[in-house]
Parts: sequence; structure tokens; C-alpha cells
Amino acid sequence: MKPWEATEDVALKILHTADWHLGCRFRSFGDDDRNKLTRARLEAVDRVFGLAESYSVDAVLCAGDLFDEPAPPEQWWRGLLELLKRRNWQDRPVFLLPGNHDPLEANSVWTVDHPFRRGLPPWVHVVDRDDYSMELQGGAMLFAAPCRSQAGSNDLAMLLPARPDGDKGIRIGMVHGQTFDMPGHQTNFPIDSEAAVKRGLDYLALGDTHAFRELPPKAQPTVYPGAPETTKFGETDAGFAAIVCFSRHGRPPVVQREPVGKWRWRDETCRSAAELENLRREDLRDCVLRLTLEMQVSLAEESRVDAIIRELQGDETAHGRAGVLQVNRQGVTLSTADLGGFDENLPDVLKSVVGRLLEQSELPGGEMAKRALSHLYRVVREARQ
Amino acid sequence: MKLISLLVENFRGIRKAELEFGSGLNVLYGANDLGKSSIAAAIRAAFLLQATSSKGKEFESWHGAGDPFVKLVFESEPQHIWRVRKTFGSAGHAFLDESSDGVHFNNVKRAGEVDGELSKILQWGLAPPGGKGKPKGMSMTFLATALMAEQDKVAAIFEQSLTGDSDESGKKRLIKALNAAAEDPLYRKVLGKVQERVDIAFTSTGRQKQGQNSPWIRIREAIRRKEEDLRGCTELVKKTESIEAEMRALRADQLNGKAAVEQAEAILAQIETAHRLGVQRSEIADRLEQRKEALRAVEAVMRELRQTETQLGAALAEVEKCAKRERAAHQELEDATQRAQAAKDELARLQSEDRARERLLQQESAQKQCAELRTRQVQTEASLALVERVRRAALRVGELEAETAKLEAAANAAQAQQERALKVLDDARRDERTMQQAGDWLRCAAMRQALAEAETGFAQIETWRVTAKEKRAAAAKLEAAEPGLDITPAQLQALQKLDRDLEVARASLRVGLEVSVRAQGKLRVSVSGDDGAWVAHDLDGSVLETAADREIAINIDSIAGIVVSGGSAEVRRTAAGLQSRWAAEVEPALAKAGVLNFTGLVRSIEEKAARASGIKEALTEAAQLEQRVADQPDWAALRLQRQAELAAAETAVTGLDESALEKLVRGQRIQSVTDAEKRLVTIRGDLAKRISDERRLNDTSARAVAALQENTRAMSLARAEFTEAQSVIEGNWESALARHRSERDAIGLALHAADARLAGLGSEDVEVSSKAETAVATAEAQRAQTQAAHEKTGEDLRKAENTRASIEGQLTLRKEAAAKCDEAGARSAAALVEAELALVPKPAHSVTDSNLAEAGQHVREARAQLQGLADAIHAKGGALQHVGGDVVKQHAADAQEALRAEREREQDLKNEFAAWDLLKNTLLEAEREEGVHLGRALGGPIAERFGELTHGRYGHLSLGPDLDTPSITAAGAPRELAALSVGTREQLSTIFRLTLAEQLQSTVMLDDQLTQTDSLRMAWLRDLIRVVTRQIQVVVFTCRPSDYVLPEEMNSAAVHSIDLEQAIKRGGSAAAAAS
Repeated sequence: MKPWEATEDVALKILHTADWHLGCRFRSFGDDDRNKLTRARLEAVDRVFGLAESYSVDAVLCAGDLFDEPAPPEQWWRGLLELLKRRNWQDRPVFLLPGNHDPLEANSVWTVDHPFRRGLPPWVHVVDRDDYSMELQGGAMLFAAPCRSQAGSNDLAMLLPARPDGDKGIRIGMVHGQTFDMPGHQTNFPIDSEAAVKRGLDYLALGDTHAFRELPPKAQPTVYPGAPETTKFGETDAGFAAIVCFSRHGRPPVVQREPVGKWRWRDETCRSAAELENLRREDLRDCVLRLTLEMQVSLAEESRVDAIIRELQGDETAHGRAGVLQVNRQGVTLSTADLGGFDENLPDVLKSVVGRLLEQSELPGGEMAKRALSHLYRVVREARQ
Repeated sequence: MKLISLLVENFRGIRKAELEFGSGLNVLYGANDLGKSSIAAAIRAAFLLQATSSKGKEFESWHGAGDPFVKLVFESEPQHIWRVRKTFGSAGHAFLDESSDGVHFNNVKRAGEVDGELSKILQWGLAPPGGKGKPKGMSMTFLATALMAEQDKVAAIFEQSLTGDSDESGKKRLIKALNAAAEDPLYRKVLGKVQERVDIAFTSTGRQKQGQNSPWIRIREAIRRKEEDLRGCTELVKKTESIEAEMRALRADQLNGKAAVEQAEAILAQIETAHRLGVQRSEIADRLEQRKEALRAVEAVMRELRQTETQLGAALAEVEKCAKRERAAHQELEDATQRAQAAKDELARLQSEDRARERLLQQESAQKQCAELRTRQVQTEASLALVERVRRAALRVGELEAETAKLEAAANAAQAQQERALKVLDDARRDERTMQQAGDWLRCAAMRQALAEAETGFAQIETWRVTAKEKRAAAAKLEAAEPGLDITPAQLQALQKLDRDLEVARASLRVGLEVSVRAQGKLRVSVSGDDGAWVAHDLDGSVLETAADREIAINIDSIAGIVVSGGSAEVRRTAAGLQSRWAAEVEPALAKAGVLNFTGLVRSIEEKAARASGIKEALTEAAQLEQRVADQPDWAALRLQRQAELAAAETAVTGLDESALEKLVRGQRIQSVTDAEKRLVTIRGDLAKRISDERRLNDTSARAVAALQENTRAMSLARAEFTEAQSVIEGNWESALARHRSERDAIGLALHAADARLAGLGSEDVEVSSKAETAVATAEAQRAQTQAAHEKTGEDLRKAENTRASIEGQLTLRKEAAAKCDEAGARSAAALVEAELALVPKPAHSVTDSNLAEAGQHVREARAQLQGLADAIHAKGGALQHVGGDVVKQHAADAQEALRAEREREQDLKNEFAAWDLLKNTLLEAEREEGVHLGRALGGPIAERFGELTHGRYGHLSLGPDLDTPSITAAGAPRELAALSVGTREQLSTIFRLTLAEQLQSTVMLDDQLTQTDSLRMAWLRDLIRVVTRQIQVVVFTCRPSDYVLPEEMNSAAVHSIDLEQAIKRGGSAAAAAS
């Protein structure tokens, strides 16, 4: 039996999530892919809520950067509103904390007259005070402080109230910022790594970094749940939420990392057509694939490479085999040594064209001619079909 | 094109004819001489003859009516309907009207402009009239012949070619129409697809498309948006980084400030500690002094007790003495009373008989007593003098002893003070030495750092200088290697236009030339074609056939040189002119660039621009580096100076333990040389004060010692004198003195009494009696005196008793006081306090309140400065909150990545479309160079149809590139068409014209063409015409309509049959003849 399943010992069970970055622009991607990836974040939030239901948690703590900007386009806050309204969690409060990407400032979604804020169900609470506190299930207390700007050098965790003498209750802190071990933390709401101990908290729920991190001590852990979906290439340990169980008997809280992310971000380099064929055979539907091709190919191979890329990428008529694909083909060079008999059955004029392009391809800067030859190869194939 | 209607008036024999044409086959039939050819001529004239042309005379009305008039309505393309109205003759006039519905016309041209406009509409290769060298009259160009051939020129089409046209429009139209047919289907498909791709990105003139859907515009717009986004983000990031840098600097200052506060607090703590120790020691010293004072008081009480006891002893002795004296005085009083009684008795006796004798005895006794007393008096005086000397010596010794004790205490105190001062001085000197060494070490360290900086600076500027030099050298090398190619974009455009013009001109000259040279004997012939290379041929009765597109030059041995050139003279001139311009303008540019063609030239210009940009960039970088070098201090001189300074500084620390000094500097938080020097100044000030103090104390000590020594010497002398004086007296001098004084006084009294007694004894009786009386009086006086003395001694005794009692009282008090005093306790307490004082360490430096206040002020200032830094950091934090911080950095990184990706996409797009464009150009180039062979394009379908007609009797129909010099294969060899029968030629001609019209999608007029054709072939041709008229309009003039129209078709919609007899109104005799 997992520790959090021993319900008689569990005084409080919460879900801790953060860094949804709804409305993230994904600037490097095209419009379609951008929408796909941004929508994926909303879907991830839906899975987070589903996880909360499956674990029957007593509260959901959302520790900042829930939107990518303070006033995101309506599409994204409306989407979150719909997800929340779809639930009826009268006994499961949800706490939304403004982070440094979506700080509590004028004209943000957190202002009381914003349609998002007005539309929130009564069991969704926005941390909109510096001395925010709320009693949770079984007398546990939540203390939180919001970010009020995109940058700051004050330690919000150390602003939380210290545990009074004799207080034996469960105390949970929730803030957004970077612990002292992170580079650049000085101006990004720095948080003392020992803040939980210093403020007498049983659990310090943080948000900012997109990777899951648990900082010691075990008895009073400080946890970053990370982003529920990866945000960029090279980002590791994203795609999780934390389920935290607090014991009735003063034992250290049990922190369980639960996967909620669906998309895998892969950076692949194929150095031969065969490697590309192998990659093509994989299930890449939920994959954001950055594919770098570094290979020398013949005309026929290039045509096959093109076909695979088209297959992975998809078009107006069919979805690609890869969820999202970015291709860097600058490393592909065309070998004209073997045309594979391409020019043999061509009319004279096209033979002449092939000859001219081959001749040009031998000159400095002949890559353009190779490319033109490649185009010709494809067009001839299309024309013959 | 198709004809719609025709109105002819006063045209040769026709008074009026009005015809409406159908879209397919139009068969205009009628008997001979009815006017069919005039109708056909009217149509040709409407299209091809100027109204004012003298040729119009041919159309004059035979019956003298008005001027010939033709009105022809035709459609050039859907909804482009034209109406030509021409009245021929010397005063002829013409109108061209345009309509989109065929009902409402607008005049667009009139008079001489009509024919020019018609030339443009028809594109039959007919130059607009009026120009120099332009044909006069009705010019039957190749296409005019093909489409509108006259009745008697059935095979005229075979005698003409496009080269005979007066302008290029006919050829261009044919090329355009036949191009598809001329091309291989695969080539056509490929070209079409490639053109589609090119058209996405480029206009027909090869420029990048600028429309809304242009990929260039889209990608540029995307890049612009990304750049704008990045600019915004970069701006914020710059601000963020600037603020963060300021915050870092402020934080560093804050750390220094904290260190300064800590240092100031540490110094304050040290000073406070020293001050506290000083105060503590002072308090303990005060308490010690109090204890010592108390001890001294106790000692004084004990001393006083002892003194009082001594005094009591003396008082008791004095009482004893007084009592003794009182007793003596009492005795003396009794004696005096007795003597007074005796004197009275004497007097009484004298006044008796025995008195004389007694007087003698008494005289003798008195004299003896006087002598004894005088001797004793002398002895007593001498003893008293001795004792007096002893007393004086003892008093002197006592005084000197007391003085010596004082001087000793003073000397000891002065010495102790001096020792302390010496120690303090040593400490101060050590501090000075240490601080001096620390300063030297810091100076040395600073010099080392400065030298390192100078070395770094020197290395840096050397690097910059070398880099700048390399960049300049590289730029100079590039500049030197740069070919002198200096072509502006406008010039390049002009050159490209010239190149295109020349290409067009050359293409216009491509007429296809073929020359046959038949040698009569041995002959060497050299031939040069379009490529300009001479090829020699040795002929021996054989035939040399050679062909070229534009020009053939033939040298026949040394006999003749023949040049055959294609195209019209004007076109050649234009081409030649362009060629010379090309040679003059383009060739030098190509040669200068060292390239062969325009692609190379453009690439060279782009590469040059890139190199120029590189050179400029290198020079800019070099200038920037040089500017940096110039902006830097003279690091070389500074380095030398620093080396010298370091050598001097290192000399100062030679032999010193530098690690210990470094430890000292860190331990004492000495910040800098200046700090060390400041501290050294303070230490030296303190040292000077210590030296002054020590000297002053030294003087004091020396003086005290000298006084002590002097006193000691005096005391030794006094002691010797006392010892010497003491040695001659018995007992102590004080009792001796009292004894001798008492004895002297007693002797004096006794002597005086004895003298008086003696004196009384020697006087006369009377006198004795009087003397006795005097003696009685004297004795009485003596008795009174003795009584007074007795009283005095009694008084002295009482006083002594009182004194004794007083002293005893004092003694009691002293004893009581002494009983209350605990000398051992007081001594112990003083020792304890002394020990306590010893436990409190002496501060290293003496600290004044001013020092303490100053240190406190330093702390306050440092704290205020630290608070100021904290405020500044807070303010910067506020600014950073406003700007954005890490969030904008993330956005900027995203934007940078997005822009990079977009630029890659742009480059990829450029390459992609450049490749498509290259492919298109290569396709066209190849196609051009492979040759636009209209004959090949048209020959196939014609030969196919002709083959069907003739059941394969004839083979391949050979047509020249410009549809000239036709020949046909028959019986395995090419045959000239003249070899064919007239019927076959007219059939071939008809097939040729129909096929050509089909390709042109134009009306074709067959004016009694197939008169020599048998019924079988006529039937085949009729079917062909049916096929053709599905697409184009065919107007047939015939006197045998059954050749073209089957009886059942006569009134059907499939054929538009016009009975010219009905349509034509003839005038005058001609009409009568016809009727």
C-alpha cells in the first residue's frame, strides 16, 4: 500500500501544481503548431484536475505562472474558466497564485472586475493579498503571498508568518520564486532554501522552475512541481504534478510525483536515410520533434527523405505522423554522382537541363543547381504520375 | 478569331452584299462570277488594305456607283468585337469600332490608325502602315496567306514563310500558339509545374512578388514582426541587465558597506572594550586606593594608638616627675617654711647671744655648699649640652627618615610610572613597525596588482592592436585582390536589359538558314555558322549542305566569301547595334568580373558587395579596436612605471614574513595603503605622546632618585652624629635631658639659696639682724616662692594628671578604634583588589571619550551609508519590477530563437525559389537552345492528316523552323512539293491551312480551294473540315457546295450555308447578266 493510500493516517491530501503558462506564444513555431502546443497546455491542466479527482485531494494549490502573461488573450483564460466550471468541487478548494509571468497587477486577469475573476466558481480562490491565509481540511492552514510584478528581490517565503510557539497544526506555504541555488534568483523573487524550516512550515509549495524539484529536509520539504507540459527543447523533468499527503501523527509529508504531461519534446539528428526511416516508424503523435538532418543523399534518397518529412509533417489533407515537427535540412547535401538513371528516359530538352544543372553544380556555389536538380527530379516524378 | 458579319457596297460588281457568319463551317456558294471572290477580297481588304491605298482602285464599282465600302464585324476573342468600316479610294476613310456585345460599338480608331490597330489585333505579321520600309498595298503575310489565301494562289502558303513578314507579330503569335505543340509533353508539364512554383514568388519580369500573398511579403512581415518583438524584448532586457548590473554593483557596495559597518563596529567594540577595561581598571584602582586609604587609616589608628601609648607613658612619667617635683616642692615648701621659721628663730636668736657663733659656722657651711653647688652646676650644664646635642641629632635623623620615606615612595612611584610608560612606548613602537610593514606590504600588493593590471592592459591593447592590424591587412588584401568591378544596380539593370534585348534580337534573326554548295571539281570550302567557328570541307564534286539559325559564312578557297544572314536588314541592324553595345558595355563588365555570363556577373556583384561589406566591417572593427587602444592609458609606460614602483615596494618588504603580514592585514581589516598610512599616522601621533610621557616620567624619576640619594646621604651623616652624641650619654637622651634639666634647675635653686645664705651670714649683726629680718623676709619670700612653686608643681601635677587622664582617655578611644580596625582584613582587602586589578588586562591603547565618540560616529556613518545602499537597491528593485526582469529575458530568448528560425526560413525560401527560378531559366534556356522549330511542331499533325488522306503514301513532311521550305518524303526520299500533283498540293495546302488555323484558333477562308480534288479525298477533307470547325470558323467560297455540305446538312444548324445569289445585289449590266 502506498503511503498516501493509508487513509486513516492521512490528515490532509493536496495536489500541488504550477507553471501552466496558458497562452504561451511558442514564438519559434508556426501558427498551427503554436496553437496546438498552447492548446496542449490547457489539456494538461484538465489532466491535472482529473488527477485531483482521482486522488480525491482536499485542495489544489496552483503556485503561479498559470498564464504566460498578466492579461492573456480571452481564448486562454476562457478555456481555464470552462475547465473549472466543468467541476463542482464544493469541498475541494482551488487556490490560484499570481506568479512573475502573471503578476497581480492592474488590468491582469486577477483584478476583481476582470471577467475571468468574476466568472470563477466560489470554491476557486485567488491569492490576492500579501498576508493571505486560509484554513484547509482538518484545521491545516495555508499561507501564501502573490507576485505583484514581473521581477522582485524580496523573499516572499520569508514574508509568511512564522509558526507560533505551541502550534502543532499543519502549516503549508505557497509562493512563487527561485531558491537561492538558482542562477539569477536575486531579482526573480529569491527564496531562501531553508525558508520552510525557518518559517515552521510543514510544506512549502513553490512555482517557477519547470522541472520537478524537491528540496530537503524531508520533514519540511520545499517542492517545485514543475510545468505540467514541457515548454521548450532541453527542458527536463517537466510534465508532473505533486500529490502531497500529510500525516495525522506528525510524520513527514509524503510527496508523490505524478505524470500529467503528454507531449515529449525530442531533439533528434538523423545522419542517414535509414536513421530517418527508423524514426518514422516510431509513434510520434504526441511528440514535438526538432529534427536535424545531416546527410548526403542521392536524388532518389532525397525524394524519399522529402516524402518522410511530408509524412511526418502532414498537410492540409492529412495530419502528420509527428505531433509538431521542426526540420533543419541545412545539413542535407545532394550527391549528383549517381542519378539512378533518372536522366535516361527523359526527352532531349530535359536531358539538356539535367546536363546544364550538373555542370553548374560543379561550380562554386553549385548547391543551388543541385537544389534545382532535386526540384526537377520531383517535378518529373509528379508529372509522370 | 471569327467573322460575324459583312456588308459590302459598291465593290467591284457588287452593289451591295450583306452576310451573317456562323461560328463553325460557313459555306458561301454561288455560281461563277457571282462575286464570291469579290466578297473574299472585300474581307481581305477590310483586314489588310489601307482605305486610301491606290490598290483600292481595284475595288471600284463597275457600275460607277459610290466608293467601295466594306463593313466587317469580327470577334478577336470572347467579348472583344470589332467593326471595321472602310471606304476605299483617294478620299477613302476608315473607322474601327469596338464592342463587347456586338450591338453597341464605340469608335476607337479612325483613318490611318485603323490599320495599325488591326495589325495589333490580328498579329498576322503585318507592320503598321506608314513606317519606313513598310509594305504598301495589301501585304499578304504568311498568316494572311494561310488564313485568307486568294483563289488563284492555292499553294501560295508553300512559297511563303514567316521570314517574309513585315514584322514579328505573326511569328510570335505562331510561336505562342505552337509552343505547346513544339514542346515535349513531359517538358511542357514540367515547365508548367515549375512555372507555377516560380509564379508563387516572382512576377513575369522576374521580380519578387509584392502582393499580399507573396511569400516574400509574408516572410518579411513575419520577420518584421519577430524583429519588432525582439527589439521590444531586447530593449527591456537591456534595461533589466542595466538595472541588474547596477544592483550587483550596489550589492557589492552593500557587502563592502556591511564589511565597513562590521569593521567600524569591531573598532568600536575594541575601543569600547579598551574603554571599558580602562573604566574598570580605573574603578578597581579607585577601590584599591580606597582599600589602601583604609589600610593607611588603620595603620594610622594603630600608629596613633602606639603613639598615644607612648604619650601615655610619657604622661605617666611626667605625672611621676610632677609628683616628684610637687613632693620636692612640698618638701621645699616645708623646708622654706622651716627656713622661714628658722630665719625667724635666727632672727630671734640673733637677737640672742649665741647668734654670732652660729653665724660663722653657718657661713662656712654655706660657702662650702655654694662651692659644691657651683661645681655640680657646671657639670650639669655640660651634661645638658651633650644631651641637647643628642636631642638635636635624633630630631634631625627623624626628620631625614621621614623625608627619605617620602622620597623613596616618590622615586618608586616615578620609576613604576616610567616602567609602565616604557612598556607602552615599546608597544607603540611595535605597532608603528607593524603598521609600517603592513603598509609596505599593502603597497607592494597594490603595486603587484597594479602591475598585473598594467600587464593585462598592455596585453589587451597589444591584442587589440595586433587584431586591428590583422583586420586592416586582411581588408587591404581583400581590397587589393578586389577586381575593379564597379557596377551600380541601375547599371546592372541596364546591362541586363541590353542582354535581354540582344537575346530577343538574336531570336528574331533565327530564321533557319540552309545552304547547299555543289562543287564542280575539287574545292575547299570553309563554313562558319552561328557559333563563329570555321570548319573546312574538302569537296570533290560533292554537295555540302549546311544549316544555321541566323547566319552562315562560306569561304570558297580564295575565290569568294559569301555571307548568308537571316532576318530583315533592320532586325539585323538592331541586333548588330545591340551586339556592339553588348560588346562595348557588357563584355568589358563580364571580363572585368572574370565571368562568362550574367549569372556570374550578378554573383560577382553580390560577392563583391559581400566582400565590400566584409572589408568595411573589418575596417570598422579595426577602427573600433584602434579607438579602444587610443582610449586606453599608455599601458606600456604604466607597466614600466609599475615595475619600478613594485621593485621599490618589494625592497621594503624584503626579509619580511609576507604571509604573516597578509594575515595581519586581513585580521585588522586594513583596507588599503591609505588606510594603513592613516593608521600609521594615528599610531605615530600616539607614539610621540608616549615618548613625551616617558621622557617626562624619566625626568621625574631621576629627580626623585637624586633627592632620595641626597637625603640618604644627609641621613647617614645625621645618624652618625646621633650615634656619636648618643655614645657619650647614658640611657636614652630623652630621660637624660629631663633629668639633667631638672638637676640644673634644682642646682640653680640650691645655689641661689646657698648664695643667699652665705650672703646673710657675712653681714653685720644689725645688718645680720636686718639681714636676718631680710632673711626672714627672704625666707618668707622663698617660702612664698616655694609655696608658689609648690602650687605650680601642684598645678603641673594636676596638669600632668589631666594630660595623663586625657591621654588615657585618648588611649581608650584609640584602643576602641583599634579594636574596630582590622588591619589584616584591610591589607587582605587591598591585596584582593590589587589581584582584581591584575586580572583586568591593560588595554592596548588608552582610549579617550573622544576616541569612543569618533568610533561611534564612524559606525553611525557606515550604517547610514549601508542604509543608503539598501534604499538604492530597493529603488532599483522597484525599477526592475517595472521593467520585467527574468520574464523579459525569457521572452527575449524566445523572440531571438523565433527570429533566428524565421530568418532561416527566409533563407530557405530564397534558396528554394532561387532554385525553382534557376530550374525554370534552365528549362527555358535549354528549350531555346534546342530550338523553336515551328516546322517540327506543325509538321507532325499535318503529316499525320496528310498521311490519312493519302493512305500513307507520303511520309514525313519537313517544314523549316519558320514553316518554310517544305518538303515531303516520298518513296523513301525527300521530295519538293512542286513534284506533287496540283490536286495533292491543294489538298496538302488545305490541310496545312486548316491545321494552322486550328492552332491559331482563327477563322480560315477557303476560296474555291479544292477544285482539283477527287470526290473521295473531298469526302475525307469534308470530314476533316467538320472536325476542325468544332473549334474554329471556316469560311468556304465555292461554286460546288455539295463538296462541302451534304444535302441533308443544307438547312441544318451544323453548317451555315449562304446562297450568295441571295445575298449579293449586283448593279448595272452585271446584275442583268447574272439574272
